[in-house]
Order: sequence, then structure tokens, then C-alpha cells
Amino acid sequence: MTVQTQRRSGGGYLERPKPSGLADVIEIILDKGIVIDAYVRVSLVGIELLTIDARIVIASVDTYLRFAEATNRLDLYEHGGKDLSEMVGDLQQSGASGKTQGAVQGVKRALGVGHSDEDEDEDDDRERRPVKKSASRRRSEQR
Amino acid sequence: MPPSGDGADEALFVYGVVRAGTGGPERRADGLTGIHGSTVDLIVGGSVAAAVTTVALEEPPRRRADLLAYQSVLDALHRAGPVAPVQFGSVLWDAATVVEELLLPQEDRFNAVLDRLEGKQQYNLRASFVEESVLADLVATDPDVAALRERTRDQPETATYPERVRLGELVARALEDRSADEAEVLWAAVEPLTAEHRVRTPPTAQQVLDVALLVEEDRATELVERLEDLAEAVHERIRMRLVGPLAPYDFVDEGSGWV
Repeated sequence: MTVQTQRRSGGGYLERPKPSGLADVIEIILDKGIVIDAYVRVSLVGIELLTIDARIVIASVDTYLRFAEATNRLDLYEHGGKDLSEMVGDLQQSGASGKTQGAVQGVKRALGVGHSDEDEDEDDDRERRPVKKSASRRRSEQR
Repeated sequence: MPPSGDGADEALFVYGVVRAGTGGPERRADGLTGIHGSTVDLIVGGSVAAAVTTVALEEPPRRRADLLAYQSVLDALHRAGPVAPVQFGSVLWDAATVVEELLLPQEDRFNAVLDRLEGKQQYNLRASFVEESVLADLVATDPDVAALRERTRDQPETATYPERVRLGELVARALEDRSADEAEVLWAAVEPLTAEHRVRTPPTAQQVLDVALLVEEDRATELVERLEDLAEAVHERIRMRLVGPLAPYDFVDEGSGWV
């Protein structure tokens, strides 16, 4: 998935990813489509969780601290530090894709993904694991 | 037909609603592979039809492969003509329920939606800040941000906690303002090429646009070209991403009173 989302068509600047991974598909279809009333539907355990509201963005102290951290880290940018791309990737992940990340993990749990589908999911997990680490590291530093 | 009534162990997973008729409705679902690798059938009710797959209730469709199959069936149906996707996970007991509770009561409304979607496709457009570049510009142009950054950047985090919160708040607010401004400019260039749109997420400090576009097929090339130009013009501070064409997942919820 990582490779595909970074692929660009014809050397242009517009990214044209093919939505193939689980996260991409959930992003596209989550909460979308005609809703059929519950009394008409067959109630199936597990499926309801797909409608979890993934769109809550919390403007919290955590968010502010993240921006402060990002702004202070610009030192490296100005002085040409080597760690920049790593950190920027980290920040973008915990930022722009942070809100879908939680939902994706929730849905993956709801879908029972992670056992027989383990091999296919490794890409998603590898991509997100550092985010979880850095988020918990930040929290523990504040305490 | 699956068994119905109490004790049934099979039911019908519904993908979406299409028009019945024109060349035989069954042809449209021919060769499609649905959930659990099964076939996709069309159940006709009046002038509309539901694309369905029989599923075992013991093994409800909730796995990764099921989501991917759902999307791939809808995209295939969409390539053949207008389709109104039904929310993933909608399972009805039997064909009679599909006809009597889903299709017939909403026949006129489904037809109106399908007419509206005819010849159009969905694209999801997202524009996000290139954070390091936008932050550098902010530090260079906002004296308050620059001053707070000077005071906090080489200090222990605990000693400057309030200042760091304040800095982050200033940065977040400034980015939100910039985001709203950028969104307005980008949107003015994109909107004329769209038939309809739905805002998926309003502008935030990180993301300028997150919007679903409904686009006439014959304007799609023009849209992509314009977006290419825009993306090039703003690439130093904004990254643009276009997904599609897709089935019109975001464009079926108009009006009220869905079954």
C-alpha cells in the first residue's frame, strides 16, 4: 500500500493511488451507501461496528503539543539534519491519517482480521506501528 | 431461493440497487464474483433490482476479503450502468423481503437516484499540507510563533509545558486559517468541473480538502488535468491525492425516508 499511495502518474504531482488495501477500502465505504432500517435487516454480530463514527477529530492539548513539537523540530530542517524525513513521516502519520488509523484498527478488530489474514495485513501494521509507539512515548514523557 | 422464516441458515447480502430491464437484468451480474467467492444475483422488484449474494449466517460477511469483494462488485456494476450502493453489511432474510421491504416501497426514489447518477462517477479528492514546509513558513512569518519557539525549543519539556501548549495552539489555529483559505482557492478551481460534491471532512490544521466529487464521465479527463495543474502549482506546501473512478458511495443519501 505504501508504494501505491506514493506512486504518481506520468511524473505529475497529483497522486493517483489504487485503493487496494483494507484501510483504503474502509476509508471509501465506511458509513456510505443506502441505509436499510434495522427492523428489515438481519442482525449480524460484528457488522454493526463498521458504522463506528471515525470522523471525530479532537482539538486537544495533545494536538497542540504535537504541533509545538513539530515546530521546534524545524531546527533540524533549517540546519539540514538527517532525521527530518523520518520525523516528518512520523508526524504526518500521527496527524493526517491519525483519525482513520483508530477507526481502521477498530474495524480490523471488529472484522476479526489478524489471524488467517495476518500475512496480508502486515503492510498496514508495519506502517502504523511506529505511530502507536511515538504516541505512547509522548504521553509517558508528559507524566 | 434461500429458505425463509425462522431457523433459516442463509440470507441475502445486498450490494446495491440497479435498474431492471435493458438487455436482461441477469446479464449485468454475470461473471461477477461476490462475497465468499459466490455468484452475484439480481432480484427484480418492479423497475429496479438488487444485486445480492447468498451468505451463510454462520459465517457472516465481515472479513477483509468480504470488504474488498463488496467494493469490487459495486465498481463492476457501476461500470455497466448506474448503481446505488447499499451500506456494507446489509443482509436481508430472503428474496421476498428484498422485493417487498426494500425495492417496491422505494422504487420511485431509487429510480430518481439512479437517474441522477447516470453517466457519473465518484472521485475522492484529498489535499493535505506538507507540514514541514508550511510550519517553516509560519515560523518565518509569525513573530509570536517564532518567539515562543525560541523560548521552548532548547528547554526541558516539563519546564516549558504551558509555553509549548500555547505555541502548539497558535500553530494549530494558524494552520486552520491557512487551510480554510487554501480550501477556498482550490475548491473554486475544482467545483465547476463537478456535478455534485460531499464534504467528507471540513478543512483542518493538517488537511485542506477531503471531498467526494460526482463527475460526468466526459468531464473526468478535464478534471484530472486541472487537478494535475493545481497539484503542481501548490506542491511545495500541499500534497494532492485523487482516488477513483469509484461507484457513487457518497451520493445515495439524498432525501429522507430510506427503507
